[in-house]
Amino acid sequence: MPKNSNQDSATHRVLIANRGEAARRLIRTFRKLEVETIAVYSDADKGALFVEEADFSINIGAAPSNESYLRLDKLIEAGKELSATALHPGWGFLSENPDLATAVESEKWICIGPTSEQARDLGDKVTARKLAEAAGVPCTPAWSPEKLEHKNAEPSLEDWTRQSEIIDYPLLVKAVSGGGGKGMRIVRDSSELKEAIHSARRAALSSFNDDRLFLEKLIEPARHIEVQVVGDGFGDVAILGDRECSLQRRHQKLVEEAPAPHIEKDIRKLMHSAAKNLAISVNYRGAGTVEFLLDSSGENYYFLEMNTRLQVEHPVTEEAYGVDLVELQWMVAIGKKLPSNLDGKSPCAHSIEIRVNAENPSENFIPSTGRLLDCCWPSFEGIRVDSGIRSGDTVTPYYDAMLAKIIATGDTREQAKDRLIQAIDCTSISPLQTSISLGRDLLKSEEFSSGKFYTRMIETDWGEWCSPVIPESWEAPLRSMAKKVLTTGTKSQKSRQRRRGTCWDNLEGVLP
Amino acid sequence: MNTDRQDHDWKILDWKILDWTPPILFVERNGEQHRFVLTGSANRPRFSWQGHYQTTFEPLREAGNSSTDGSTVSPMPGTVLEIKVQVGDEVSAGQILVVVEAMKMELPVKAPAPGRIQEVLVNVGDSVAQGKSLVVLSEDEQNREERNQEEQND
Repeated sequence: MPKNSNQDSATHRVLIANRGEAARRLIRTFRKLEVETIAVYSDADKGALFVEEADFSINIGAAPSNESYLRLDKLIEAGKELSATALHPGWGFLSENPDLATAVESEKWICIGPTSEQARDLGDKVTARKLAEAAGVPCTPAWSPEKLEHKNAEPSLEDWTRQSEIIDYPLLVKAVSGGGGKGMRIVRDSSELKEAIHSARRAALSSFNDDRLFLEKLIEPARHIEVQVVGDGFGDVAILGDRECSLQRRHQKLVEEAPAPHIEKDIRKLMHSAAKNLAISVNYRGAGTVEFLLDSSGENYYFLEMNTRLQVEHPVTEEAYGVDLVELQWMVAIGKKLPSNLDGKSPCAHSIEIRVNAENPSENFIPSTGRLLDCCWPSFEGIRVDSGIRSGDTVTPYYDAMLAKIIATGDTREQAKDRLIQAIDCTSISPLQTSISLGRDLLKSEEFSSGKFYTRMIETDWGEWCSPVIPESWEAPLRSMAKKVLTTGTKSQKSRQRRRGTCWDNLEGVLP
Repeated sequence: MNTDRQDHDWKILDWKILDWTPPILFVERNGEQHRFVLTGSANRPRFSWQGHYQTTFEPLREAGNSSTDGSTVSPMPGTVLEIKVQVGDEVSAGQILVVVEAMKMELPVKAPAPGRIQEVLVNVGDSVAQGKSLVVLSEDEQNREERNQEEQND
């Protein structure tokens, strides 16, 4: 007998296997759907916003993530204790771990994500390439040691060198289980190969517990374009447009937008159908992203990888296409059909996101940690802030540097951009350094306007970039103005400032 | 919404306050408009400008990265991932001594000058604060002589 969605949801309790901004984002949709949530937290996250906002919460261990958020056994234990019926991994941490779905489903809980098999096959970059090729998706030249005659033999440096020459430099040494640029090294000539293999192997082992590597031709300059898919697990797949994510540092995205600008109509169509074919070929279940590289001619695109999870940058798709991707994930997880008008939906707006990373962009992006005195977010039309922090929180070195995202949406790309620049001007995460000051200048650049950006642009052309520091002559007048306005504030304003830790910080997550 | 908005008919030098809707201070100077995020107190204000926190207004802090005792320090708080040298090793300028990891990022700490490793002060897996000494480097003879020479010439 069909039930209505509220009844379906009311019987569920979802364990949010994540922290910070990601956990808050998920909780927001589950609250809307009237599904109860369980937050799990490490010792470092006691008292964090996401813990307060969940219906239930439980400590799962020490601060380092391999003692808490990466411990599948502890998550399962926590879920049993608080009677979870479902689990959402968010992104990062265990979200692409192939053992997750099996472990969750063996408890008879719903795993909000792909099947273990899909996560394993698509997470293994060599297998994913084979699946893509079989689905007719263009791939770059590559070589992996499993092509050796003696399958189990460890390839020698001579093997790597010979294959590198066949593929031709420049190329990439990549971890088979890699992601987020970890375990990936660029090799421009044979002299760099040995050290690249050594350091990629070490990074791959420590990050993914799998030191298998493969070689892939480096396409540069290239743009990073990705296609959003949602599958119901029974062969129905909807395409929800594309995103442009070329502005990256250390192979991690910094500025993202949807839809991707400056792409030939035919090429866009081809990328969408390639993504759809791949997802259909594996009966994909849940939200996923098929990533492509688009070369400088704008005519050739190559399969990069498929991420079997919700992406950090999913909000730009939500804002541009008017959907809630977490809600769609939940629908397919509880066995509902995808809405019939979803596939191929046209964008209703343009949306651009900047990641707020706690790092110093003018000092090689080294992390910036410590106690936050202020956490002031912009709040005006077209601005959405997804954040996990508030004034008084301490940013620790244990986790990813991303603290929040500011998403600006407008009728046009120009309007979205102007709004985002203004939003950055109204943001303060003092006394930490963040990536948004660099983001501001990127948004204002000629390259951004014309769409002539590529994945290594920040490293190559913006290496000398310096943070905007006020001229010395401004200091005295600014001090005077601060004295003037901060002493003449009304009494109620002062008491409110005190109460809120000097400025408001609870406006995040507000949809435009 | 702008209940805090007041008339700020007030100027200092060529600066004019256009609006103060806490925490946003909107000013004009020579026809150019600027937005600042202003927090803190009248005596200890904190300014952010164009998304960047302005350290200019802080009481003077100790320089974080430089050291006077020949040691090489961690540029960021984090965990020691790998130690690439041993006591007694001769290293060249720019050679990687230690790899520190924080926030899923690996940062190689390089020798600032050629020298010999006198002491390694950390172990793999140690948590280190920003500015913590990792390796003590003794200047090699030639380099010291050259520097002495330069100093005498000064």
